[in-house]
Amino acid sequence: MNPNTDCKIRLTDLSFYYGPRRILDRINASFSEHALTTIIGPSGQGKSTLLTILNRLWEEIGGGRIQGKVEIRLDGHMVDIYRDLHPLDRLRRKVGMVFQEPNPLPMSIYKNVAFPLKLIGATKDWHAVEAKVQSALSQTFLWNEVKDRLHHDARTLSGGQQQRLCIARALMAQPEVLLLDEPTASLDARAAEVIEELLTRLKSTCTLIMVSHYLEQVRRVADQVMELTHGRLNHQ
Amino acid sequence: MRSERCMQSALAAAAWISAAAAVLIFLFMAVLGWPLLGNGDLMQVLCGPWSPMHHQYGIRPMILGTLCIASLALALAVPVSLGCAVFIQVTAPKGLGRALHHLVRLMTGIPTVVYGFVGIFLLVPLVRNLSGHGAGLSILSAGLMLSLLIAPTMILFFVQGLAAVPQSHRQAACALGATPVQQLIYVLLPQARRTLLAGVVLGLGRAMGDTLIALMLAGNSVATPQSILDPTRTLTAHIALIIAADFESPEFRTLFICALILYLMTTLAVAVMRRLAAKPVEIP
Amino acid sequence: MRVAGQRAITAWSWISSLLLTGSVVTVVGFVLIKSLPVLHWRLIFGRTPPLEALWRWAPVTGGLWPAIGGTFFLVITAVGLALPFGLGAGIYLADCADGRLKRGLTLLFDVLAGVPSIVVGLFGFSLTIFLHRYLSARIYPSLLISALALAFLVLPYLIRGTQEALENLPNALRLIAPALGATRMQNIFRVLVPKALDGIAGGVLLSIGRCAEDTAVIMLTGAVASAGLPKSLLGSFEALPFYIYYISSQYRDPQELQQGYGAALILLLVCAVLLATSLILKNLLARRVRGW
Repeated sequence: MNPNTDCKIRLTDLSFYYGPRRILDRINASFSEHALTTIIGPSGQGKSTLLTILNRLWEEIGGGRIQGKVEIRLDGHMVDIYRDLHPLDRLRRKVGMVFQEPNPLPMSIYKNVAFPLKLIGATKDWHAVEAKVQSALSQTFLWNEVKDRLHHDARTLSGGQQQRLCIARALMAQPEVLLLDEPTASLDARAAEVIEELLTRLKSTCTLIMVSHYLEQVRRVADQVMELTHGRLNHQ
Repeated sequence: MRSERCMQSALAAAAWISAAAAVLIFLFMAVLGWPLLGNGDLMQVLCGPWSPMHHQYGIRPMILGTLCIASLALALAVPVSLGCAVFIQVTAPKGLGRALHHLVRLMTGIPTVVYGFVGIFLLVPLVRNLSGHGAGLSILSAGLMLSLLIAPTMILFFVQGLAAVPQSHRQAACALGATPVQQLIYVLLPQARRTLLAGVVLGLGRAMGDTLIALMLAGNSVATPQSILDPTRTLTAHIALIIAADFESPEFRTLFICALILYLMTTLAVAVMRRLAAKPVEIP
Repeated sequence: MRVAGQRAITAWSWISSLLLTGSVVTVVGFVLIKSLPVLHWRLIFGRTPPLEALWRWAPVTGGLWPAIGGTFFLVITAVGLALPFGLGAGIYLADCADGRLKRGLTLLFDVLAGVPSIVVGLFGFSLTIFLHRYLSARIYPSLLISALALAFLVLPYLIRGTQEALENLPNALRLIAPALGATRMQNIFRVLVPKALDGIAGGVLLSIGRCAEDTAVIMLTGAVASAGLPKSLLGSFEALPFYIYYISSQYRDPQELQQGYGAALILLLVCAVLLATSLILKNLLARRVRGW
């Protein structure tokens, strides 16, 4: 593995604490570009925390403490996201996240997907916005299902559709990395299958890191599997 | 299990007697004001001028006075209160936001009469000197002080409304790179819209119901005010001012019309507020 | 949303907060500075030696003692009258009433909480006239009438405080005693109320504060400028907030005015201490319940 071209994310001596409790213990690992890496392991071991460390979302919840180095290659440069003065909002656009529970915002389907554009003030040219929304929805196999009710409340969609909507929304920011925290855990088998297929296609544009409990699923989709136990991350 | 049933009936009785208090006050006012309500003079009372010398007992100036002072106080207090709530919930550095929240809670305990007292000896001379007009006892003075009285109530309500927005919404926006202020604009404010409006209604109710500030700072003139530097009299101050009159006199009867109007206005405010705030919120 | 807009919103929130903090510091600071020169035993006891006034009830003239005493007795009587009803109604709402009944009662209590105090005062005043005419000619505006009207005023605070304290108890706690065969009332009075006691006490302190600061009710129902310490429930009385109001328009010399500032400071402190204690008690309950 050539670390300069293939490595998208590199963790060096990464430790994480909640109060006195050590969640992660001097982790060293690297994640390959355009691959789907799954992280497995018993619950309560900090798998989700590891994901939120990669987009610094844990800082919004607070109470934690971090040591070590997290580097992500963004726009072709290796960036130490905790030391280099990389703007937080930019980082979070480049490192998208999909949660266990689908979390559409309380607005229409269309507005949900266009939301990331609104954040960067790129909604002036509404033709372009529409094109991008359609493209993101098509990419997540959702366009045909929702094209007639784009202006309905997003919460009227089924669970699987909501989750795909959230992925489409994350894709709008053109992320280089997509973090997935058990994205199919709250869905039925059929909806999960659709999402799995979607994820394998996304590998061409993104580096995917997914936390999963389902070994079946892991076997089907993962390029790389890591197990998190007792604060250590081991290759499988 | 006789004691069991006794206890339960005692509790129920306490609840019903307390509830009856609200109705009793209304009925008392309605019955005592009835002679005026009943014989068709109501319009004259509501719309006429106040001039006991000419046997005119209209309360239009007081209704106007109440509306002027309350809306001025609201216009001043709403932007500041919203700003403070945003500060506490979104923009403040952690410790500072909590400190302001505590301060606001303590502010709800400042006695109205102290606001009035400080108003007379600090604010009124200031208004008098700055405007160079009249005695300084004016709609402006009362409105300014009143806005300080109602601000904490509204801030606490606003903060509750903003805090009630589900964490998952904030998190979703945050994970997409929304800054705290963007989360406020696109997620918190639209979601808390109804609660915020309810807070404004609550503030309006408080502003209309306050007596001491208007009584001490607004000058209590019964003429219809022309500008905010003119003195005026509110419904509440009107009740406070004429008390030593004969039970049967029309002058005294109008007090009950004033009280009825105040009762109905504040009840309306409560009803609207409960309608707006979908979930039950703690009324500060 | 452009950066400039975001900056403007941040700036506006800071300015609002500074404005509010500045105003309240000005108000409190003004009272404090103006009353500093009179902060002395004489402010309260006038020329009477404090111990004489305290032990032998020696009459105090030229001090705030009668007003403080009046407020004290007024608050005790008012809260004493309201307490059984407030606690009972609060418990009833939290643990006995459901659905439409509960919503209806809460609406009425919210309405009662919204009634302006001057309207409650007018109610008390007309009740006095009514009683004077039809019950006994000995009834005049008095301490008892004021306390009764104030009891109406603080009833909703007591009810809400009790109800909230009980409703904030965890559901798991609610089920323990019934699972062991306790009746509903046993559960309420042996388990739930004792557990929620500090929250309830918080509500009581809050209503004491409301009673102590309210002026509009007592100015219509029996408070006067000079009466000495209250001698009976049916006599008129002095009270701190009324004294402050009275001084603001009727002071005869700068010395009296300064005494007004002193009274304002004392009332401010009393209310602040009551409110702060009530908030702390509420917090204590919340923290204990979370840790339960």
